Amino acid sequence: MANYTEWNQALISYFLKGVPRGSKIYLSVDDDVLDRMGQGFFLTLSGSDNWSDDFQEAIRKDVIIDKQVNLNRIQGRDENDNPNCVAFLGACVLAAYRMANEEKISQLNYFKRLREILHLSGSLRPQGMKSGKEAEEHLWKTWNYWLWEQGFQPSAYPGRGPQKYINYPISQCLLRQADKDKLQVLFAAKQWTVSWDAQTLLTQIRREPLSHHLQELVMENKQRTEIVAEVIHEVYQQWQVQGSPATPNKVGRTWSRNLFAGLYRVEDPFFGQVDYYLYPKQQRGRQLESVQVEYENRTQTLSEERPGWYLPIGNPLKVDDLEQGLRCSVVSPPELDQLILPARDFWLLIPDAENPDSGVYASWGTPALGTAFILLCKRELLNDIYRLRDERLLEWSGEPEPIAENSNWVELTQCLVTSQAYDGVFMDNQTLKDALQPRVRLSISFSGGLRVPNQRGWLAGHCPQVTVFGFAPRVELEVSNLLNEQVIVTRSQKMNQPLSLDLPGTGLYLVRATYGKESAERLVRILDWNSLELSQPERREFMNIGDKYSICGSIILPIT
Amino acid sequence: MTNVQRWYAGFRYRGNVKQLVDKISEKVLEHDLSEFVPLVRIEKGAKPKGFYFFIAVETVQPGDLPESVQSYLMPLPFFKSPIKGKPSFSYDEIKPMVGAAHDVHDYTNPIPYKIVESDRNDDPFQIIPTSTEQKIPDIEAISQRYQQLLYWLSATGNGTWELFKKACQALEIETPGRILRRLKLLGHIESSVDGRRWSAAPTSLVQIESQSETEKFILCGQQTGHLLSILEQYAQVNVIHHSRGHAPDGLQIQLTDSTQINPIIEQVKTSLGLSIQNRGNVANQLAEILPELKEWTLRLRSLPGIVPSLYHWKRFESDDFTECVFSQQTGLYQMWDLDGGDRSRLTLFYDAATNSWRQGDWYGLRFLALQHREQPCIARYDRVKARLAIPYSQRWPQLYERALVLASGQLPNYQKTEQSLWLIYENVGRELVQQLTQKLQVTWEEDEVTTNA
Repeated sequence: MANYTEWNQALISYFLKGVPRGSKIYLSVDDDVLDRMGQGFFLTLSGSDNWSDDFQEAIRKDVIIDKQVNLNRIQGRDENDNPNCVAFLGACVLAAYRMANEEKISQLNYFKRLREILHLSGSLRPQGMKSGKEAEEHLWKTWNYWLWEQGFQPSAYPGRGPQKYINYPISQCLLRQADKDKLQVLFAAKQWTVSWDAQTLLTQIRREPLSHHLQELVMENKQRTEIVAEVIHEVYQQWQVQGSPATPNKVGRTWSRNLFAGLYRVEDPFFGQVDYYLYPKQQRGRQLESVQVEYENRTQTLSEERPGWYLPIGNPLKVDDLEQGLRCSVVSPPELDQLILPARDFWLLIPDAENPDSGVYASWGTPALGTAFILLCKRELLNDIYRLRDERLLEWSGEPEPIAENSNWVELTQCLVTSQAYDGVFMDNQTLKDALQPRVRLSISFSGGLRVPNQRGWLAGHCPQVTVFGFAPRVELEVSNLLNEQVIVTRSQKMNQPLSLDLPGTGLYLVRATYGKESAERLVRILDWNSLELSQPERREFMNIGDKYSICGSIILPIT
Repeated sequence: MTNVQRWYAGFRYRGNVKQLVDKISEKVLEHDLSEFVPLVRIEKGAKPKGFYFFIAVETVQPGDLPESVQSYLMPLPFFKSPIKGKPSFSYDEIKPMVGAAHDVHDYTNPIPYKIVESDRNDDPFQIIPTSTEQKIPDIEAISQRYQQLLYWLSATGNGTWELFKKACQALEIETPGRILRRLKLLGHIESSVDGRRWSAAPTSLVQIESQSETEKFILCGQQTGHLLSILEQYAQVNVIHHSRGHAPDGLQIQLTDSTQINPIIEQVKTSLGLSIQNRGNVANQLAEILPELKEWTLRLRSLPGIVPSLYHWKRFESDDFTECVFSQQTGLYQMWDLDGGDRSRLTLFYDAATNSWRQGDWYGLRFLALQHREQPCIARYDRVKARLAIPYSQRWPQLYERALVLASGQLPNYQKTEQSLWLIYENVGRELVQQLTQKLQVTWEEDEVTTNA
């Protein structure tokens, strides 16, 4: 049996491994997730019927003392600086899932479920958790703060009134079991057996009649729909792995057997030559030691480029590769079958959020409001795209440039979604419309200042400018110190206008923009000059001296 | 999910266009109607005596105006004359009348679109010689910014020319091309052959000639304030300001015995996990392996595919660029776009013998042009003080100059005489002078005695 500490570590790894920095993190623990984690991290089950039982047993052993909850042992951080509370919070989310699957959302129902997990009778707040503020809220704040520190965005937030504290775990629930079942029924009815990527699948699903809860999940706030799209995609792949059954299975218990790839775009700065590379994406939450794929007639080992992504591989892609997609066999591990570049009609490529001046664009995600991106698409989409420009919804610079002579694929650069009024505009390609249509009204962007990419912050005295992009005239802006929650700036700010941040010193600052019921948050880290650390360059430049030697700074080396 | 559609309602109006737009805008904003009426389009070339205009409307059924639009907008006098017989238009139907880029008034608070100008024309090798006689008010304050730049480069590791320029801008350091060159001379960074990328150089200790009993080393490459403080714990570190402050301070480590260097390197490794390389006398090593000027020229990056007729050209004559018609003459050229612009696209050396365009550091290419014009290139050496003087107008190619700078860890001082401006390099051994001047075909004088290379 795995103990509390092991489950705690496994949860952190599962929810953060393979996840790009800057992503919103949902601690969406349910029975399926626990099963998959158990198989992935601990391999063999002993003493319990299933991994969920094993997890619950581990929680009880650590937090139940004398038949009451004692959270003292899970305060603070462990020797690896990870928060100790994650497994317990996971148990709270499990309770919220079970409630959402079967009952109405209420304090009573939530605590009944939590008590069941903790083997405590009754249905009110358990002994030892009498003060929500001091018990679980404190732990949620610890988790949120730690996520910010690691470069992720937390997603757990309190509710109002009596649901204030139970909203933290409720806010982490994504797909319920009933939703997964309904999705499988839909996949089977539609016989969706092709290998769509997450975005394409989501567009297909949005066209279908859905239950109220699923409809809300796939249509609401885009920051959440991205993760929902990923989770639905996992269900889709697992359903395919199981042979596309006509009736719903417990799909969450297996891992997907395929890796997906995006595009990585580099441009020669002088001659303007553009090349695209195959850019394999990591599987969320999965520990894969060494992945080797057969590509371009040789075995290539995938190595991590950054959280969520492997290094681009192979030679520049050909137009045919874009047109038809690619499938490469995975040589190892045996749990994987293929690396797939989906055949799509278009790709949205955004600049590197961690190093926007690198000149590299890739399929890292959907463009945030106000972020200029590259649209790579088939020519047949141009009518739709021109329509968007006519209707003042999309702008770009220059003319569509073919990516190769006589190519059916063209690039539009410096694209910007300028308005959110997409609803009334008809487009032939619904997937493109879905991808471009903003589903948030606010986005915070930092620019200028002196950024240290490797330490994910800006240097003191050279803070960035903050711009809130969106579709309202003004926005309420608040900047606070994340550690002590002291508010430093609060003002009404004109939308789409940069504002210089004057922060009092080093530390973590939370920038929050609010308009109506919608808000956006981003963290800015201010570093002290003395905290700068030397960074090993990803690539060292050398200048050749004759044909025998080269030099880098003062280092002369023979050319080998 | 209901399917909202965008359609257009058309009207004819006789009167003031601006007044119409202002009033409609006022009403849309006042009653928050932008959800239903995102924009208004006015007929091209609208005249007060009569014109068409169209409001975009978003509803489920084209032709059905929402109640709020009926109540608040339609009572305005501008909407009295709807286009008869056609309650709704598609955009394609009105496009010929209104045009895509014509008068459009958007009520959805769009995000303003700004094109970021491409800097593809920005040549990282471009250095425009300027007056070197500026008075520097506060050398320490200035050099601190350069120090910060070096620390930032060390922490960032590598990047693009764009990133380098932005860092300079943030630190209020002007002329990034010059600072890039200085940092290369000092052995702190290296850039790619095309100048578009840079990387910080590994941290190293470079031995320099010492006139006293002590052994001297200079610190090159990646460094931080923390590294400096550790070095100061174990050795005497002399901080040397460059003459005009336009570079990070030089750090000179002084030891009584060269055997002390390895324990210091070990201490740094223990404290910081950083392996400092002890590279010996790099100035001499570099001078030894640098090629003759002719070979260096042939190894410069060649840019194929340049069609001269597609550009304007200026040729370097005496000390400036003058307009010319390119006639395949060897020399230094500026390439300008035909439609002008405020700066040249590239500065290149054209070698008629090989019919090739060569790219390289600005001073290096100018040096080539001078040599090709058979202009005598000279230097003067003060053996007692171990100083070498080179005319500013004949500055050497960057790699050769690097050998001179690494002999002391100091950038040259500027010395003005009645006739010209000189660059003075310190701590340069006679042998080093001999080797470099011979390779560059420079004539040098020593203590009034002329020596031909």
